Amino acid sequence: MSDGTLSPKKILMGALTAAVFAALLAAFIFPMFFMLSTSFKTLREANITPPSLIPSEFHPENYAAAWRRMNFPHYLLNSVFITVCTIAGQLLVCVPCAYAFAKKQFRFKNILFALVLFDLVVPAQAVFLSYYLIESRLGWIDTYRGLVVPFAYSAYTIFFLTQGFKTVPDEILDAARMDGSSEIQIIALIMAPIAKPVIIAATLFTFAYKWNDYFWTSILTTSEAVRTIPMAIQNLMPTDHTIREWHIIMSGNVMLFAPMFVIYILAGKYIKESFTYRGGR
Amino acid sequence: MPGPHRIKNYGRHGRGDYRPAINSEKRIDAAESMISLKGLKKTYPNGFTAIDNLNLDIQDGSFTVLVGPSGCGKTTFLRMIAGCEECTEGEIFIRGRNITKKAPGDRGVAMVFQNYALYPHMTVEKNISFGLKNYGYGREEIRAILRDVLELVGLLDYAKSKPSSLSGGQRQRVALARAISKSPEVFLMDEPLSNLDARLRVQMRGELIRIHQKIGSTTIYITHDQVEAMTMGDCIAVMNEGAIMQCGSPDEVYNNPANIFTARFIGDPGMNIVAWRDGVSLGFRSSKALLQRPSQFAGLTLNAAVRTREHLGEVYRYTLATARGEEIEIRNDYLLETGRHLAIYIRGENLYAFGADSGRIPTAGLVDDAEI
Amino acid sequence: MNESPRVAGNIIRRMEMRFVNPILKSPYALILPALAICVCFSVIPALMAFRNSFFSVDYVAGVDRFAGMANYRSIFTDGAFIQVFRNTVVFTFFSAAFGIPLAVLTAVFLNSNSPLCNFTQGVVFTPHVISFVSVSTLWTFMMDPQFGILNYALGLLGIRPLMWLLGENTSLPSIIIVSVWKTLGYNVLIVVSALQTIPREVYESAMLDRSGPVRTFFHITLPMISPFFVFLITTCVAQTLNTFDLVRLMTGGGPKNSSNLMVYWIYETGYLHFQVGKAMAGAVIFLFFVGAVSLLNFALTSRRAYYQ
Repeated sequence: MSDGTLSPKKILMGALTAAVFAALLAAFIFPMFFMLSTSFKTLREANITPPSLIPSEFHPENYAAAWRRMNFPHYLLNSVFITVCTIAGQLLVCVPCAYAFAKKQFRFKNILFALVLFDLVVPAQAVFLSYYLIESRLGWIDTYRGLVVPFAYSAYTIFFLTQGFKTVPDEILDAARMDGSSEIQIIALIMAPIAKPVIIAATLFTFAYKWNDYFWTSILTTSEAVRTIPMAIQNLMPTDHTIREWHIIMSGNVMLFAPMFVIYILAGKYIKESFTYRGGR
Repeated sequence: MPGPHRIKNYGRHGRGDYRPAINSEKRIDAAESMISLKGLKKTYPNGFTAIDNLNLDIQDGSFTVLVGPSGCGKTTFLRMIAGCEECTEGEIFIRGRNITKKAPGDRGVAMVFQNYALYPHMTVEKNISFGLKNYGYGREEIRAILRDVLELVGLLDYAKSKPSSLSGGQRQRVALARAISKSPEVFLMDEPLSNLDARLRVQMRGELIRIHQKIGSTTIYITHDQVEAMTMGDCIAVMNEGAIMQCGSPDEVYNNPANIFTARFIGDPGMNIVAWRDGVSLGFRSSKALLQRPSQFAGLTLNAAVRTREHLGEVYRYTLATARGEEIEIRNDYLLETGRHLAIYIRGENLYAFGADSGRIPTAGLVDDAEI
Repeated sequence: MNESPRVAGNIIRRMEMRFVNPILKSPYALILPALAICVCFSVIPALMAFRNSFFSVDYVAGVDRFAGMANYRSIFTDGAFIQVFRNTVVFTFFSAAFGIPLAVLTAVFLNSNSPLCNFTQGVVFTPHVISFVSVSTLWTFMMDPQFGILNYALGLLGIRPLMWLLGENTSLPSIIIVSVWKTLGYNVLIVVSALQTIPREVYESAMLDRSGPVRTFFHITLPMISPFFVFLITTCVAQTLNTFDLVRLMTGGGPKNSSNLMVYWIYETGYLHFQVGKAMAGAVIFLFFVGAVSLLNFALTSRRAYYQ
């Protein structure tokens, strides 16, 4: 289509396109770049005006300080443990449930499905106080089970898996039954492998949700014992009105940022899918 | 005794000692027919009755074709035998044992599905061995069976392929091999050829018959295509609206239809039926319609007008309308103009009579010289 | 081959088929765990909130008695609740009003398969996978009134420095900016996937009809992605209505409740100040409000939506 000549209109369009790209990239890359840059500065350099874009000298020891003062390993272990348990719990609880709703006919199915999807309608954040009361009556505050068991059920995961499982042909399951499979075999060896993309997407979504969760962790815990890394950065914030050590805080923030960021780089396609699947019905 | 394990007859190892746990049941009465269905009924939760009071006996080693229009309940019927669908009423016996309440895997039946229903994530080999493992076969036995069945269907080279890399015909063969591998007492086939193109269908038809003759297991085959039924079955059961209309050899259902439905459904084209008198209808095959009155004629004379003409190559296919507006079809190599009025003649011995309940009644002496 | 593992396997399998499988065959058994957790941690909490909103509850003093409408009266005489409610509406409205059009424009701009577009899409989406804690910390740093880079940038443009999170008039707009920044990538992703459902032939015939880019955008693109707006607006509104992390981490609702939102108010009242009944009354009103908004939202958008 291009005839090689550059009309003024084309130059203007080109410049405009470049400007929009520059603006978008600046708005989203610059904050992250500035965070990284600050994390290597000294306290003095972090607080000067005008701010420097590149640190005049690099201080990687900021990370060691943040690591120590945040008690990072403790939170990291909690995060890994709680996230893994939640994902395992969701697979155990939601996969059979979604299988039943997708592939079985039974009485009260629609009512039960509506009940199970209750959470999609009622935002749990609004009634978290009752949540807290129930957990404290059970003695689950500040325990791993308090942060795992209620989250083994997710209306979103069930809905999403049910939609995915419906696309698996009934005949394949019938064939498996005629091959003498038990229900466990049908779920684990036939349904799950065939619907693997759906399960991966749901798992990644749960991972991102649980790994980043701040709200529930802050409500259902009162001490450091079972808290996860989103809570760790508080240890770097001064409790009184002393000056904030932004260089250390930014080091800590890079450490918070890094695991999800790396996973996003590695599995970005699946993560994006897991988020868009919510839209495609 | 014709055992269910004919697979050993062609098997290279020739062992008859492996057998699915499913066959360990006591046999109550070995003299009975292979499959016997008593008062079968299926009503869906929405109130639709797909099958009502169905009774059928199927002989050991037979190739029974269940044929009927789509929606007549034949797939439901097959799934009930397979155990994929619960029976609302009635009982199913295989070789005298009541299997009505048994799980699909414990019935000694294997099924070939219309859309193959292969496990898409498993190789051909795994597809077949998955069920065998469930039945407790050892590794060596599985290997031997795999080799036998893959050789039988000609897919030895594809053992490690995934179904997605196979053609439709090959997938159907894998599904067949998977069913054969379990050496079931009964094969169930649900329109297994309907997803194949026309040429492949004819080829697979022959292959299915060859395999059936080789292993000799009782087979129930479902189709809506009466040509398939006529060419494949040694016993044909015609089904309509959840009931068996007639059951017999291909010859019998074609030449001796028990009712109007069977007469119309079997044969290409189906039988022409015209109303006569007192609720009695007369039927005849289009090939038996004569355009000239033969000498010494005793039978039916039918006045009609040519409505449409199609060139089929060797002959023309005409639809004619009788004076009462009933449509009949004849095939002839005479060229007739549309709109032309003519009389056609059917000899008495080629006529079939059906009573008011659409059941067959004797023709003898009924129609010596009738005219419509 | 060793036979013993096979025998053991067969025994386990037989036990499974005998004792476990008959139970799991029932669909009710399969949904039971999910249903149990759902009832305990979703249905009961909602009912409890409703019940407690009519009770005077104090767990420290052991008080739990019927209080009628007292809780509801107290939140309406409390100026803070009205203000927080208004803040929540403003916050949600402006987050959507800026966020969604911006997302549509960005998506239309980035809807091509060039590497630069894909890269930019990936970059814009990044904040969405990062936790609110990280994002809040980062923006709190940039919005620091004294040393923050945003005030420095404004200075370069000759604008007087702002108080950002610490100013009564700027705290709510500040968290709106952060909220839009964090969710833009997700909204863009949804719109891009919507744009990809439009067949190319439609654009080609629009071109044959001599439709310019602007006309095409308003008369072809927008109507054809409108079904997705129901979803987009619903999720956007649901997310922003339930905002807690940003308030908790960036402003603590201050100064003087100027950036306080409903969920944080419930947290403050019930969790920090132990006024359970009052907090639950607020929660119930909030729940009805959320329900009404999603119904309204659905009714308005689906009426105008284009369907095949």
